[in-house]
Amino acid sequence: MRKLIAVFTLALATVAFAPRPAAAQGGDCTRAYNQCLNDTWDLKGFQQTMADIECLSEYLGCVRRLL
Amino acid sequence: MRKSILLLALPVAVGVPILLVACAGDDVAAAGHRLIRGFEDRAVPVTCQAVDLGTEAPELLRGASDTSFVVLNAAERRITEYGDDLAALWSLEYEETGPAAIEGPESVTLLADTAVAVLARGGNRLVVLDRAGALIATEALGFIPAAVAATSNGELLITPMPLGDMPGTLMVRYRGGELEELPVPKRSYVDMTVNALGNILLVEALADGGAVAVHQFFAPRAFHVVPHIGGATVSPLRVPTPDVTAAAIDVVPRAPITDDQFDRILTPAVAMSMDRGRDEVYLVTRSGRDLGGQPERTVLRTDRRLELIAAYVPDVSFRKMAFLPRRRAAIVADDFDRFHLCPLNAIDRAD
Repeated sequence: MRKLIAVFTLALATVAFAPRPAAAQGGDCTRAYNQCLNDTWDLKGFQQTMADIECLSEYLGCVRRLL
Repeated sequence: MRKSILLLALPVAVGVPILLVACAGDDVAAAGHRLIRGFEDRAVPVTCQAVDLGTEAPELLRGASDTSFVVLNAAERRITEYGDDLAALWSLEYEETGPAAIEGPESVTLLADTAVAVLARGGNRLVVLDRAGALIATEALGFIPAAVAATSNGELLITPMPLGDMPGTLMVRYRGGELEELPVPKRSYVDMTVNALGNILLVEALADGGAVAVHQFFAPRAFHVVPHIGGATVSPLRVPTPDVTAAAIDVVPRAPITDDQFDRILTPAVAMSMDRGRDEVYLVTRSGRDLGGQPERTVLRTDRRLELIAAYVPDVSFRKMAFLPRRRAAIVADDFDRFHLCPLNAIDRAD
């Protein structure tokens, strides 16, 4: 039983810490984009529009790099 | 002669829609898509060889000439041209601030034998440098830039990530310090982010002064563009896609785009490269299969009209590629930013 737990733990650690190529993390671009948009909430008018465009620009660049 | 088979599948359970499927010929389905039928049997497996260029983490990788390619390393702020023997030919270090600033590079191309052009998301700019890194020209583009190619006439063709009506078309020509929209039509999507992604084109110049531009996402569509005085002649092209990916054709994700949606969308052109001597286009797309938990990529070798010549499946997962015509091989950067050399010279699996 102890050996089984040890093997299971080792397998879990291997999966958890294995390097992940970025292709599986397209959703990270979306999350970063949403966070960026949230960060502009206190801006007003033209400043907010330009900040949102910058967020979109970063998002599009992120997606292109990951796909 | 094309053979047509019409299948009518009746619903077998309540709620199952009626499927009407028409299969016509080897290459073109009734819906007008250029499917590569029997892809899994036709694709040539390729064994790649790891190579060391003395640099890591390339941001951009692009074919330059028949015997060279260029690498932009954003971490080192360095642009280097390599010969197809993998030796560095020249290298420059660029700035991220000041008049010649390159921040957020999206695309790079060599311009004649003397300059390099870079599209930068920082400031939405075109920056042209000489090979010593001195500034030649900059241009505020007024739109988010996606890709750039240098024609044999010394003009730059630039494609945008369109935001609303900016710009009005999918290609802008830069020559003599002037920007001119060329009549490459947009596709329309409701959501702003999906619309931007769905209209990104990769572009490569042909030897005769024209260019081929291919949609990166969702729609297997492309254009042959021939710039001339006063505008351009633009012809639509269909991009070949493995039959395994047929279900993804024209699938449009819903914002916000989740990981699950990213895994299922069509990517007609993850990367693109040219053999100008043979007038052939090399497209990287998803094969529809899985490679070690990641989408497997295939390299489609086509003529200038995107008619398929051969399909290759390298044994590494990659998104960046430059074709080296003289070596009949592609230099690729894998998902961990390591370089590999992949021979692409067989026509079919019997070779």
